[in-house]
Amino acid sequence: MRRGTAAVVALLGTVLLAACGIQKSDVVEAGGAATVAVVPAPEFRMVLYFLGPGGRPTPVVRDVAPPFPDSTFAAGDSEWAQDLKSRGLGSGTGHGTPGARITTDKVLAALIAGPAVADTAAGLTTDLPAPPEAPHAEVLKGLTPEGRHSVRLRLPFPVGDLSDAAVQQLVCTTAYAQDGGGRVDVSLMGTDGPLPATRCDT
Amino acid sequence: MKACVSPEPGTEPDAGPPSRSRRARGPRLHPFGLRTRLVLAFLLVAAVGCGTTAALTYRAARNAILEQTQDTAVSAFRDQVDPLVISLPVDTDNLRSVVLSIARQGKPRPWRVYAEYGTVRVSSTDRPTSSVITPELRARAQARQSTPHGSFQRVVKNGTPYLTMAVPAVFRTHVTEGTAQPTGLVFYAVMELDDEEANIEAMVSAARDGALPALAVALIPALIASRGVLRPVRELRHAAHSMGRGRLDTRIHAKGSDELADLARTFNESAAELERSVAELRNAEARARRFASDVSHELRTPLAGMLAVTEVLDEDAGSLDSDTARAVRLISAETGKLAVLVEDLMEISRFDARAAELHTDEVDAADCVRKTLQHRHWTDPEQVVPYLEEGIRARLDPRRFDVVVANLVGNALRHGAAPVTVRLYAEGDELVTEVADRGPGIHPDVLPHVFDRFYKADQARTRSAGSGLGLAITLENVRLHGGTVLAANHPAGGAVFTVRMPL
Repeated sequence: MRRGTAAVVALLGTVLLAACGIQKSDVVEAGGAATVAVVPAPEFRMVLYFLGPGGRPTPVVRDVAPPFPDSTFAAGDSEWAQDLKSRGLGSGTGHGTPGARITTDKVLAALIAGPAVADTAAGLTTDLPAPPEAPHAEVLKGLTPEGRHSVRLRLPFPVGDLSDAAVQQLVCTTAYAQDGGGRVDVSLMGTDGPLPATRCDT
Repeated sequence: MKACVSPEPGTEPDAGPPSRSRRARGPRLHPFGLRTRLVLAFLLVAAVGCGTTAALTYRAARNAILEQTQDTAVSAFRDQVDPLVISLPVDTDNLRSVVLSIARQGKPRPWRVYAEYGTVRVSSTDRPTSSVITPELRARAQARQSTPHGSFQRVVKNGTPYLTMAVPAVFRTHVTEGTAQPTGLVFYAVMELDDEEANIEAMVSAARDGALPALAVALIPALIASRGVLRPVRELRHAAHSMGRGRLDTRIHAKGSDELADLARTFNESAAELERSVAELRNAEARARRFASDVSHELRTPLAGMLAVTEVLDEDAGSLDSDTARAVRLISAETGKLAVLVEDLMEISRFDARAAELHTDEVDAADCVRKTLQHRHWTDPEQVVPYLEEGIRARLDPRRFDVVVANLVGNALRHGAAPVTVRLYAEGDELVTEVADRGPGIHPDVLPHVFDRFYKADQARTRSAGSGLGLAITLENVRLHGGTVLAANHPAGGAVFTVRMPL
């Protein structure tokens, strides 16, 4: 009986002591993320994936042939336009009509060209080599059993020793260039042979 | 002369002082008695009750307060981030103005806002990042998962609790079919929980202020309950004590229907039974004594006649032939002994019937002893040597004192050996009479029984010169005077009987 009493007292003490004040907690998930709007609108942009600190694929949005040069969003636009022009991807070259989707090959060419000044300023890098020719994407016929399209990417460099982050850069950029929802399986075909089909990991 | 009263019936005169001192001690204090234990048990129960209630209420209230603050803060923070329009990569200046504007909208309280994108760090304060934001929170916010979540964490730094929140910004990849893709931009907000802590502290002090009076209040039923238990117990103790002192008619007032009342009833029943048994025993004893007394009375009258006849026969024995004369003398002697025995029996029955009375008189003790010796013809100095202190005036019953001295000296002459020394002296306020013989002394096994009635020191000797009641009568006479008699062996040999009687 005496032991029981001691146990009760000890339990009570522990409860009282442990409960006092505000305790620190673990990380608790609370609700969804905030959905922000990214300019330009999806019809007028391409999404490239570069690498943030720690090798996380980070999206970068670039204007493609803006029909209205006075974009609501301020600073970066003219700079981007200059960058794009210097790479032969500028608005004046007449690739596609305004509002139409830009071809995947052009997006891949922009990716291979590497981060722009603004991107580098934000700490973004690329893990891809810079070959002289651009990669080419071919859409394969038919759907996967899960109802996804398949794209084969022909690359002018070996893929065997590409890092995972570099593969994700290629795969994610291709997936979102090809399909608004990114529901695409991408297989890489390098000069040294193919890699198995991969998805953008989000 | 304080001791010339008959001893109180049923009490041992010697047992007086210690039992009185024990009785005189009042209610004893028990450090871990029933009262203490009951009070402690009540307090413990009250403390456990109060503590548990307070602790549970406190926990629930604290969690409610914190949850409300957290939920409000996180959802307010998300609402602030939601309507933003950004470019990727983010423009630092633009982001700073956004962060400052969010920092002004702190809800429920002001917060500090931080934004991180790539290596860009923007904050609403003068420092680019906060040391309160833990790597775990950062890792959770930046994790690439199928559905990104906002998250929060409470952090205590330097004793101040903070709520840190992280909301990753996602964007839709396509107007209609797009999925939410992380932009890589994460907003953090840090809010102090000072007010919440103050509220919680207030609850703790409220719980404490409520619990202490509750404990004090719990003392009252504890004391009442302990009194309810202790009073019957105390009554029972007094009753048992009173029974032990011979008051067999002691009863307890038993009321109620609890276990203690049952105990009291059982006690009363046992006491009644005991009283009945003791009364029966006493009646039986009284009957037996009356019988002995009656028998000796009935024997006395014929014996008186027989003694008169044997005296006449004794006188005429010389003229009878020798055989008849011896028979006649034998009858005469035995009749005499029988008469003494009957007298002694009557005397002892009077003691037993408490009919013996003390007729005290102020006398010269030495005179008394001397007369006794002369009457019994114990004047031969080779037989009895008196050492008598002269001039002691004592208040005693001369007849009974004579019986005491005569019995002791007669006993010494019969069983011990001459010379018998009789000493008389005063010691303090006591008169001491000491009778010593030069015999072999009394065997230690026999010593405790020498004053028993008809006790035979030698079992083989069935007949002795005495009645077998002499020392018993001596003891009763001395007791009647309020004195004591002690039998012992002298170191130099011989038995010593010491009588001490109050002067």
